Formats: sequence, structure tokens, C-alpha cells
Amino acid sequence: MPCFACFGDELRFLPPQPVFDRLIGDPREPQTALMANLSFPRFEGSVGPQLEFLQWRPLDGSRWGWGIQGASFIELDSLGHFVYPERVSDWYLGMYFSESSGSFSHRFEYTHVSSHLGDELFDELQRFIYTRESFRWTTSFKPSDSFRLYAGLGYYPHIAPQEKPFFMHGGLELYTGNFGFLLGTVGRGYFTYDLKIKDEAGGVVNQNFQWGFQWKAQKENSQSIRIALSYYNGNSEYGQFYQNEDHHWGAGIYFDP
Amino acid sequence: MFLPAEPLFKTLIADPREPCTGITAYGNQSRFEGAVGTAFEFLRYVPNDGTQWGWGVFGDGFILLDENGATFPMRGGDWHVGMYICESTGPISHRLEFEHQSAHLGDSLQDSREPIFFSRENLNYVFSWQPQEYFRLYAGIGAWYNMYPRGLALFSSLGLEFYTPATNLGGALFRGYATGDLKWVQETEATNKSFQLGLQLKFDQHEDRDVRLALLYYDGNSEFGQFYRDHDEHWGFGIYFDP
Repeated sequence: MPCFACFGDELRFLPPQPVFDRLIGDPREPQTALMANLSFPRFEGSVGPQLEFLQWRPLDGSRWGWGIQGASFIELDSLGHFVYPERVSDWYLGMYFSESSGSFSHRFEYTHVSSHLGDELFDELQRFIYTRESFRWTTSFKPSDSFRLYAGLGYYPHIAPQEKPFFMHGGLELYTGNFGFLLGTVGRGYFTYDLKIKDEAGGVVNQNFQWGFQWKAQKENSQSIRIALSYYNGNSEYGQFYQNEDHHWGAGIYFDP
Repeated sequence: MFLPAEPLFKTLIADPREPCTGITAYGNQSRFEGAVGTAFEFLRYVPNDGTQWGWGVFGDGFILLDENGATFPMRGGDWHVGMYICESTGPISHRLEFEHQSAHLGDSLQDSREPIFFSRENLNYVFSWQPQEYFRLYAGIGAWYNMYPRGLALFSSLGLEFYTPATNLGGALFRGYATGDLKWVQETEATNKSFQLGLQLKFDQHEDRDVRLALLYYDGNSEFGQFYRDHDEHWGFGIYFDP
């Protein structure tokens, strides 16, 4: 197997797993999922791959990563008879640097996002140009397998429509112990809380709660299926509706690579 | 095996509607395409007879953008989601997919074009033969149903992949590749042709994850559902990330 190493350090091209673990509680973290809105007849879908280009593992035990991430989120109405017209879609593309040492990990991201009104609503609403670029720093503290805390700050150097450019982000993840599940697989329960505070639309506090079950082949694996109940309270995460309040319950299935 | 790291059936990198993540800049128009896509295998069954079987889901989104200075107004967006079962024995592999597709007009055309309701499902089968590392041939056939707008249902595809020997450079494997993909669509009586000439970068030849840089040429009817009756000929540069 080819490997580039110098002075005992290791540089790995296209590693299977990124240094910084996904923030599974953040509804705008790149993710692949299907969600049913339980408060309104709507569905959401998302596709969100992440690819780490390079991972550097120096001898001091730290790990460094550089990669890209992209995601698309779509919200659909449900009109019955398997008709699901599109309300809105948001698209994300970004690059990140990350570092991990022991319980702490950090990620610095640059992300472009654009939001587009769905063609179902062309006769009712006038679309507007929603496009943003952001820098975001996130620090994560994970002292054990059952607990993770994270917090970060962000800044939009380019934002349309014009709004105040700072935002804060934080959250936590709690997990039960792993237990044997079907055919030698393992499962565990989890709870996440995610909070975003943005100085836009007169001040926004977006909260997302998730209660779920995570299913893996082995507890060490990153690949998992999650089934979760969620509650979202705040302004819409979809850019075309960022000034509108959104409170809803949801049920989703998530595929973590 | 539950949740294997990579799908059993290797991505058809020549097919412009195979799940992948990438950006394509058109060379002959002020236009960009973006794609996000992934496949997720639930189960892998490896019996003693030398066969392997896989079952999973996939999803992808494609966006077509105009370029207007520093802004990129959206012309169209397509979504695919589906489930597959696949089998592999030596150089031969098979995949049977159920796929849903919907296509949506971009909001930059809100005042200039009427959206059509484009939604459909298909069942398709692909046969792949890769006798050696440098060559792959595949062929497929499928049929749409629950089609909106209504149309004739059959489609088929044929494709080739060629690879050069790999070179190790700085811990990564580089190799050149050329692909061709032909797709016949009964509904439009079109044969969509897609060709790529590119560089593939991998860490290990046995891993699927790669980065590809490619020059491409497309001639046929548009792959974007809202424009499926419009002719589309373009060439472009792309960067693609196969997870």
C-alpha cells in the first residue's frame, strides 16, 4: 500500500474517515437522510457527502485533515397520490481544515450556500437571491463515547440579502451504552441538542432536538443508520424562508457513511 | 456483513447520472453543474460459492446554474433516490435498481418559463464486465413507469471505461482514464452521448474513493428533466469526488 511518510509522520491521501466527526445534531451538517414532517404534510430529503483529501498524522498524536463537503437539502409538500412538489432547495459546498488531539477536535470551514424557491411556489411567492459565504470555527470536546459538547463562531464575509454577519453555534450529543442488536450488530440510543444564534431577521434562535437509535455493525465503525424523532424550533433553515418561523416535529432515517 | 464501507457494485463513472459529487464548468457556455450523491450499502452477503451480494440505497441531487458575474442563478435541479441489489462474481457484476426521479425548474426562470411536473420511477438493470483493471464494459436496460409527463418508457445504456497503468506520486496513485457512455431514450428518441478524458487520483487501487479531473463532452437531449426535450451539446471541465 502506498504511503507517504517523513520523519515518522504519516500523510494519508483520501482516508476512509475524516478527523472531525460529524455533528449529527446540526440539521445543516452534510448528511444523507429522509425526514417526514409530523406537524405539516411535508417531507425533507438531503444528500451530503464529505471527502477528506489529506490526513496528516504526526508523531505527537494529533491528526490534521483537509477536505471538502457538499450537501443539498430539499423540502417537499405532500399533496397525496404520491405527489410531492418542491417548496425549496438549499445547496452547500465548502472546504475545511480540522485537527484532533485527544478529547478535543476543531474544524475551520469555508462554506458557500445558495437557496432556491421551489417551482411549486412560483405562482404564490417571488423568489429572491439568497447566497452566502461563511467562515466557521467549531471546537468539539468528547471526553467519552457517551458525551460530546461543541461550540463555534461564524462570520459571513458575503451575504445576500444583506444581514448582520455573525452567528454562534453550539450543541451536545449524549449516547447510551452499546447493546447487542440483530445478528451480531450493535445499537445505542442517543439524544442531541443543537443551538444556532444568528443576528439576522431581527435575531434568530434555532434549536433542534433529536432522540434516536443508532445502529452499527460494530461499535468502532463509523457507518451507521439512525432512526430519530426530532423537534425543531426557530426560523426556517431554508434560505428562501429564513425570515419565517418554523416549529415542527419530525421523524427521519439517516445514513452516516 | 452489515453496513460495509464501500458498495459492491463499482460506480459507473462515465454515466452523468450516477451518484457522485462534483462540479462541471461548461467550456462553451456560461454555465455550471453541481452534483452531490452517495450510495449506502446496508448488507453484503458473501456465500462460499465465490459470489458476493449487496443491498443498499442511493441518492443524488444535480443542479444546473447560469453564471451572471459573481452570482449563479439556478436553471434546474434534479433529484434521484432509490434502492438497489447487486451481485458480483469475479469480473462480472450486476445491479438491479429501483429509482425515483423528480426535476424542478430553477427559480431564476420563475418569470420566463413555465415549470412542468416531472416525476417518475424506473426499474433498471446493469451488467458490468471488467476482465482486467484497465478495461470495463457495461450495458443496461430499464423502463419508466408512473411517468409525468407521459411518454414511452424504455431506455438502455452502453458504456466503456479505459484506464492507464497507475503511477505513484507523493503517496497517491495517478492514472489516466477515458470513458464513453451512450444512453438511448425511447421517450425522446435521442441517444445521449457522454465522453470523458481524465486523471484519477487514489490512495490505493483497491479503494473506491477517488478524485477525478476530467475534460468532458456531452451531446444529446438534456439530462435535466425540466429540459428533457431540449438538445444539449456542451463540453466542459469537471472535478469529481467518488466517495
